[in-house]
Amino acid sequence: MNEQLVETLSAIVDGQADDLEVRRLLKALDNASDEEAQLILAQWERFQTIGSTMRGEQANFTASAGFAAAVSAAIDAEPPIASTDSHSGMDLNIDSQSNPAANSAASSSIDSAAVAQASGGETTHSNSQPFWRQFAVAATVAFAVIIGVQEYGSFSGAADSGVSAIASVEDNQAPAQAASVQATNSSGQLLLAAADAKPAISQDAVLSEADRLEAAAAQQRLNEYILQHTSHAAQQSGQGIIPFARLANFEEE
Amino acid sequence: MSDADAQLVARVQQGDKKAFDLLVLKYQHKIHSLISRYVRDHAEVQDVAQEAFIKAYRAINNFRSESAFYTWMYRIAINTAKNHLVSRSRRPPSTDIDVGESDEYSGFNVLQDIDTPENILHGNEVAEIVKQALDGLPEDLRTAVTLREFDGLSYEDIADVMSCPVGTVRSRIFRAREAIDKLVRPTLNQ
Repeated sequence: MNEQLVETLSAIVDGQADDLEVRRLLKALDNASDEEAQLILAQWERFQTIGSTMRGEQANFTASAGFAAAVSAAIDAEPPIASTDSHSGMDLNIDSQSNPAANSAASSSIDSAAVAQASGGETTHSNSQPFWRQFAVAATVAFAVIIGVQEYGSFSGAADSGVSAIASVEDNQAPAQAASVQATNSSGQLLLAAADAKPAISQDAVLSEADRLEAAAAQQRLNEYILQHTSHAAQQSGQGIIPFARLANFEEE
Repeated sequence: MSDADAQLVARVQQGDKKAFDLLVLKYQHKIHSLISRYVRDHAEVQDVAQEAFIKAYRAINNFRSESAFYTWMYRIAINTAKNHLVSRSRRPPSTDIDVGESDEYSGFNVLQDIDTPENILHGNEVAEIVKQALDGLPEDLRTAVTLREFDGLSYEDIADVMSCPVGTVRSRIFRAREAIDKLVRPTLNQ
């Protein structure tokens, strides 16, 4: 073990080393052979012991020689700690099943600090588990798609083909709904099914000639009503030409 | 929290397990002494201490650095010990040891099951060697390490007191420790 490394170790004991030195030491520990790593760790422990003995803090050596190594081995078996979100309050990699001690702690409500950790782990763990939860989400999305398709169908039917066309569009919604409901079996294809459903409605909404004529007449009557309403609005509201501007906009649409 | 602990905890939170090894080595004896106030059997103390450290590791991302790492670790250790007693159908003590008092309890004054005569003798022996080593140090090294360990001064403050650069303080403290370590190592490695 080189002298510079030991000096760094001494500075880290005092909290006087910078972050780069700490990283360098930890990297040296990672890269060291088992024997070298043991030398570094033993040096660290002795420095700690010397300091605490000088301060009169420690008069006994209660931990057994292999204690730290045993903890280290246990921790090596742990999954790596999620370092991304330290504010989430949860360790994303905790597997509560592998920690029966922590589970029993939760039941006794004594181990507040560790129980908070353990219960956090369980909460997070359960997020990826139950099938019924995924199914519920898929069903909700499917319901929203059905409602959306209905709304879209109503709007496009009224705008494109007049009042009578709405009935035809509604008649053609059944296949679209069926397609969407069928898609709930596979939540991953929901959007695909919804996308397919839209062209199915417009293509299937084929109107008969009589329906077209009726729709055109209805549209003309509607335009007349709107024009009359706009004229009255312009006279009554005192907004001058603005209502007609809105009407022009309506006609463009 | 001491900067040393803060740095190491930050490294553990970044996923560096070796940094946690250093924290375990630093606090293992204190945690053992603390747990031994609740759990008398030596083997059980070892198990509970290990469980406490593992719990701390698992929950390290919950640690916000608003308190000292040892205070947080201390709480986990006590709760783990109490939990252990409950799981063994034993009644935990109704009063806790204050975090500030835990060191006194682990000192010379209170004889515990875990404090075997050999343990106490060993501790006394180490303390005596450290004292002798300190007395044998050159004045500048002894002053530097004493100001650091007894008075808890930072390197900058020690540099002011000793009228020397911070780098010199760092080097003196390191050399003092190394000299003490040379004498105490055979005893500690026994």
